Amino acid sequence: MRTPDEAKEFPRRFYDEVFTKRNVKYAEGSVADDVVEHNPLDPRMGNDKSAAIASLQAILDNTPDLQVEILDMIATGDKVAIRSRFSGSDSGKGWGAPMGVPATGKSFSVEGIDVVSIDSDGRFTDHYGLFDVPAMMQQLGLMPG
Amino acid sequence: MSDVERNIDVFRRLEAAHQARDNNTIRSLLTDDFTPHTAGSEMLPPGADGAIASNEGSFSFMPDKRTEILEIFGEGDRTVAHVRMRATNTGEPIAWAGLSEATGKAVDFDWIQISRHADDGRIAETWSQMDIPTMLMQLGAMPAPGGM
Repeated sequence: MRTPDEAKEFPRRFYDEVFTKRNVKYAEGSVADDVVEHNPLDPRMGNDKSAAIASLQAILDNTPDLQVEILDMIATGDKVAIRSRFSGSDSGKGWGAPMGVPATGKSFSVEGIDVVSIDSDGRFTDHYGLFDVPAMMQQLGLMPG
Repeated sequence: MSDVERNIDVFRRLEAAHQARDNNTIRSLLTDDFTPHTAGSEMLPPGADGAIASNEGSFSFMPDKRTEILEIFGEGDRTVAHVRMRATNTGEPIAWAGLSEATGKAVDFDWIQISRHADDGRIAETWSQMDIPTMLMQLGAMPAPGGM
């Protein structure tokens, strides 16, 4: 059984590769084929691996200048919670596009919490995660404050 | 019992006290300087009074509110809980969601909370994320993606 600190290295590397280096291919290898994605960015994506990858791709496509900072991690040997701050501007495909609103160009900075389960090969088998959608929509002017 | 097991037990007892509206127990499980880092908590009274006001507010909107801890684990002075809440908006209208009357609709959504426990196990700080979009869609206060 790995230690909590060893477990934290998997999401730390994942965040660096996917969100900082924008390398979605890394996610293809580090997310298990039978992963359960509990919180896809859009419920229409479903809850399988393709939904997990599509959610990551959409975050990157919507935010060409994305910056992600890990603020806290709590772990057991096979589970890690990550509290992080996502910052950037609505200058890609448009966070409001599903509502028919083109990219606003406005900046946002919001916190989120994710929890992943990690198998013996270091792959993510389960993910749930929520971020402060109301604050983000207010910052982008997509919802009254 | 390890400190982590004790902290998990404190979280479970606090959630049960919220459900039972047992304000004395809520007070006993939070530190005097309890600080929640949750959107909207800056509008609440400081300390345990804010936690109680928030809980009572939820019951005023949804008198049948019930929660279930789906998963909980911890490390060091932190616990992480994934909680499911089910309720029906048969009480007061949820004004902050832009609703002027009670919808009578049922909601079923999750939140994730990280808690920092003091040396004696009481909860001193919390960071939470609630699935507000799902709740608003279930109440009909926000359109689902792709139209309803």
